[in-house]
Amino acid sequence: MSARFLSAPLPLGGVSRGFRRADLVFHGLDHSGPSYEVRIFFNRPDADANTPRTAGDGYVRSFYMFGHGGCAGQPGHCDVPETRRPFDLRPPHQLTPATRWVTVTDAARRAVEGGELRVTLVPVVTSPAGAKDEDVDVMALRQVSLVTYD
Amino acid sequence: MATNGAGTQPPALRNRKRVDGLSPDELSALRRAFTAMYDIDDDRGFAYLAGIHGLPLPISCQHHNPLFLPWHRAYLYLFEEAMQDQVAGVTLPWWDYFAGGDPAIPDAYAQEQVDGAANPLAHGPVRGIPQEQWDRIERGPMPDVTSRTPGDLAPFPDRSDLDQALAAPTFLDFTNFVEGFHDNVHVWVGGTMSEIPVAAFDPVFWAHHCMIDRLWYLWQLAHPGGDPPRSIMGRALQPFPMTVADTLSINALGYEYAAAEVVMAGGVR
Repeated sequence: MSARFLSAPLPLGGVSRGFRRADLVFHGLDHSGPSYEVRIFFNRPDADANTPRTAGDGYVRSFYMFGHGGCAGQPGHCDVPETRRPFDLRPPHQLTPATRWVTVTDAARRAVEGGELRVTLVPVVTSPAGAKDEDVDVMALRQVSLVTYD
Repeated sequence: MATNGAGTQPPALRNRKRVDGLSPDELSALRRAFTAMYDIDDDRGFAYLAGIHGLPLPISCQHHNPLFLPWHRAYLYLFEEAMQDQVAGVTLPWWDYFAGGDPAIPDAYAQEQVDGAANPLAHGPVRGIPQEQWDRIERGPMPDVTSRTPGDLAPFPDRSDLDQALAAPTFLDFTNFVEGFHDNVHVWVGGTMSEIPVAAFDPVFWAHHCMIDRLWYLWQLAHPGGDPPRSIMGRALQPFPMTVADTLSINALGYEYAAAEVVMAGGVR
């Protein structure tokens, strides 16, 4: 099983109840390795890859990342530069971590009404290479946010 | 809408049609085009063009960023031009995977045999990848041909994912959602399609991306002016001789999307 992400309880006091749309925004997703699914659970901190994907078990939805598949070059080929020189006009590195958002409006409304939200993200590697990726943090997330729109 | 190629009128746009709407002749032409490209080992051939997306290095495809849709539109355009170099008039069809019913690979791509011979749309040859590059990604033996495991790795995306994408108010919102179920379909097909290095070697890759390109077109029609960010409009779509701005009009690229086309028999009396 790949490494999960478990959020601390989100402070929901500042979130109005009348929002029309709520997105979970994932910043800094790694896509350099195998393809993987991310299963989103609300208020189910013990969720793992064996937890049923049903609303009763806190499952909200999944999203998928189509993976680059690993590095076919020599060492360093797929390293994303941390800085760019001022006159480096080449395109950004292809493996720059991604931002992805998924809409979770109904589940977020229920969480706000309940006054508490903890998000558990369970990545499941979906490629033949998955077996050797146990315990690897395939998502390498930098940040997760709940964004609501009135 | 198509225009007549006669006189001073502009040349007719070519119609990309639903896979299941292809006539027997159109499907035969598609198969002949893939077969012809399989047999070419230079830069007009299938191995070269499929390899642009993944291996051999450099892996040029753009994913998980705003270039995703423009880059793949340019890719399909140039692939289709290469197809037409082999079989005049042939076009890429689109896989209408939200048409209803149980999700399935289209028959045209799923049938192993056609008229007693191997169906060239069922599997593509995997060629042109240097062994040392393949070994570095640690996927076991390099396959000779593509394979699929539909439904084994993921459920199919839901129709609501499409509705959400088409209702997206901005290009960035649209591309986020459409790439989301694009990724899901790749994983659902499984096998070769499930990872970037070899996905484009599967013939169904082209029907999948034709659907994605069509959805962008439909979204564009509903959102005039919904262009990608101005900051990337002049960006080159390597290795293609096109920029993001060059991809915004499919009519400028010579095609449009239709469900089917029935040519009427008859004449002047």
